Amino acid sequence: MRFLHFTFLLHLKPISITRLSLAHQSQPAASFTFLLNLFVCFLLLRTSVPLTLTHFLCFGLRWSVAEALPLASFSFLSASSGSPFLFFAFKFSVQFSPVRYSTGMVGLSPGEKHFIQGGIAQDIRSDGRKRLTYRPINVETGVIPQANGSARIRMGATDVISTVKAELGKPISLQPDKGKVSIYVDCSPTAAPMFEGRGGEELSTELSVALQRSLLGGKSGAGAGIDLSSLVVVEGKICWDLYIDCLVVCSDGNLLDALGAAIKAALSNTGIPRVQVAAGASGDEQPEVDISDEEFLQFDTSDIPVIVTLTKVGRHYIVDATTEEESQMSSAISISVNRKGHICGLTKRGGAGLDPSIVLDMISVAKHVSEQLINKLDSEIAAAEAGEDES
Amino acid sequence: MLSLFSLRKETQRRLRRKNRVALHHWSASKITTGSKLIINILKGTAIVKATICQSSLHSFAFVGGLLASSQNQLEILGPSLGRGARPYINSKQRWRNRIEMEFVSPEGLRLDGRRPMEMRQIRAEIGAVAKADGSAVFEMGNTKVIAAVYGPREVQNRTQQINDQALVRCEYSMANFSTGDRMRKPKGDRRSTEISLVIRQTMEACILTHLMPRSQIDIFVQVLQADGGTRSACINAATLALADAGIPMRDLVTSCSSGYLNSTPLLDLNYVEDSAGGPDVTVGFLPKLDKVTLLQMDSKLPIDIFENVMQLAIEGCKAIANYIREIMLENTKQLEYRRGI
Repeated sequence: MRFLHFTFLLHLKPISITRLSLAHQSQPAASFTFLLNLFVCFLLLRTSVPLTLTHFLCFGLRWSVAEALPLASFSFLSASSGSPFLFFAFKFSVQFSPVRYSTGMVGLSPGEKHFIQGGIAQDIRSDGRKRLTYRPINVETGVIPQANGSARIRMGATDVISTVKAELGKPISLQPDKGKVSIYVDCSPTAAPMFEGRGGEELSTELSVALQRSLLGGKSGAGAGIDLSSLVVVEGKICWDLYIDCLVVCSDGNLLDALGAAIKAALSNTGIPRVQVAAGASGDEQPEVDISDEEFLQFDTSDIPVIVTLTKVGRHYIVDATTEEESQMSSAISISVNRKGHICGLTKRGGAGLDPSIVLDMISVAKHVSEQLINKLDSEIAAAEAGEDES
Repeated sequence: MLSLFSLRKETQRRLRRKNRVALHHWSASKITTGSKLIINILKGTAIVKATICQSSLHSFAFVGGLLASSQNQLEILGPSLGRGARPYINSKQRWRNRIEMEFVSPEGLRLDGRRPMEMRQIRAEIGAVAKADGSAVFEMGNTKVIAAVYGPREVQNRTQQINDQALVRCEYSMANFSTGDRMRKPKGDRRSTEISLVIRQTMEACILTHLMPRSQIDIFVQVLQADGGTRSACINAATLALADAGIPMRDLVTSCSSGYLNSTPLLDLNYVEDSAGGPDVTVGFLPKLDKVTLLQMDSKLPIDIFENVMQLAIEGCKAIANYIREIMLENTKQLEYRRGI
């Protein structure tokens, strides 16, 4: 049980490790208490704990910790580096540390920034991931019963809900043979206090536009992940309007990828009723329709792309950045890639310019990462759908 | 010729699980204007009668007040009028439906199969938003809300700072998909401003604000599914979230609504019952101190009946308080377990 408790700490509190080291750096007086803590915990832990799993993480964290700490602790660390106990002692002391930061706002000190950047340069990030590893993805489908399809996706602390509603409408005159799809994102103030009132509107619009660009193709509707012509009921008269509404419940970075995945999951959960058109309507009259009670058409979601965001921090780029990592980015590229490996959309954010060759390199990396992501997402969606059917 | 959706299989299954109720059968799948629709409900024979009215615009059918809420337990889905169109046609027709509708069957069962004094199934969960200082999900039947608490923290806007107590703020928002027909409302409309204010005042009354001078507590509530009683659900969720954030409170404030339809006091109204136009009493209650902190009512009611209806709501609040206490105890046990005690 104790062991479980430690691994829990390890996954959830990586940032506080950095914070401790900083507090340490800035206040030399605290170093004594720190070492004392270390020592006490060291004694405590020697007695009871089985340690295996987190051993490997020692290596990743030790160097960066050492980098951030003053020389004295460094020698202390390296002197006993052979012992796995030390790492635990260190972690344990983190919990005792009096330094507590409130979550929400990203206010990082120079040391914390250095820690994050250094970790990325060494291919081990502050939560133990590699540069191109995603956080575990948790998919739930059918969460909103009043919608035609819905899904909730959790990646670490990021939590988004996506719903699809289908309504009968009229196609626009320029494209009589195509249905309409629109995507709206809403950032709930529960995700961050800064989204209160109209505070979330800017981000909501940015995300909506980026998602439309990635999933809906060009103005003509060509190249969209969703086959728009399959939404037409009577050409020029009746079509399905799909309203995709997303809600950001909790935000810990990488919203765009999570939203893209949630939309894909929600669409594969969507059933559109079969429509029968009464014959005999002529001219300008709207034909009467009969909407089936039993039969529902499923979407083919295999063509819907996933979005992979590569965030550039320093000289390297990472996938699935957390809020802290995103605050250190110089620029980010979101690339939507479908199963065939075609690029369906691309958005660059962030002020700093990128060398064209790096962009090409990033695209090829994104293509590689997207294969794994699509497979993982598909299996998660299938598992969620199976789970829903059973219950 | 008009037509209706019947229930999706999956929805039916979900309803059966949640409410122990299902539609027995439709008396007709194709109906014309003015024809009566009879729905049988399992577990008793509650019969709901409603007339079909026709919208001139699209010639689609709507089944009285029932269709007014496609998210309610009976969930009769109909083809919608498109964006922005309201499911109810106009107040006159609503009035007619109200008269014709039977909210409590002769056997004493309500539309969703509950007894008059029965509450919907409630469910709560602590810790839904990882980044917040405290958070909770609260469900009452098909109503589902998330509350997140940030603080106590530094006051963001210095002019609002209060020197001898904490500043409590609240924002209520509804998701676009929370109602039956999709809505796209600008933030901060009058209804949500009013509810924000109500929640803020209720929570402020039970937080020990004088212990945290010059600080700010933010309460954000987000409605995911609205099926009547969102106000109550939001207050209950906010209480849990405040407790989760470790904010000192006088008592756990809980809230519940009750109404009076067909000369019967009803506990915990759902959307259909709420929109029937009868009185709707919402009570916020401090169970330990035995004090009412919130009381709202629409419509009119004789005083002696009002007393009964309010008492019913208070009983509901007490039941919710017991449940919330259980959930918090469970949560504390979990925390204890994680610490390895």
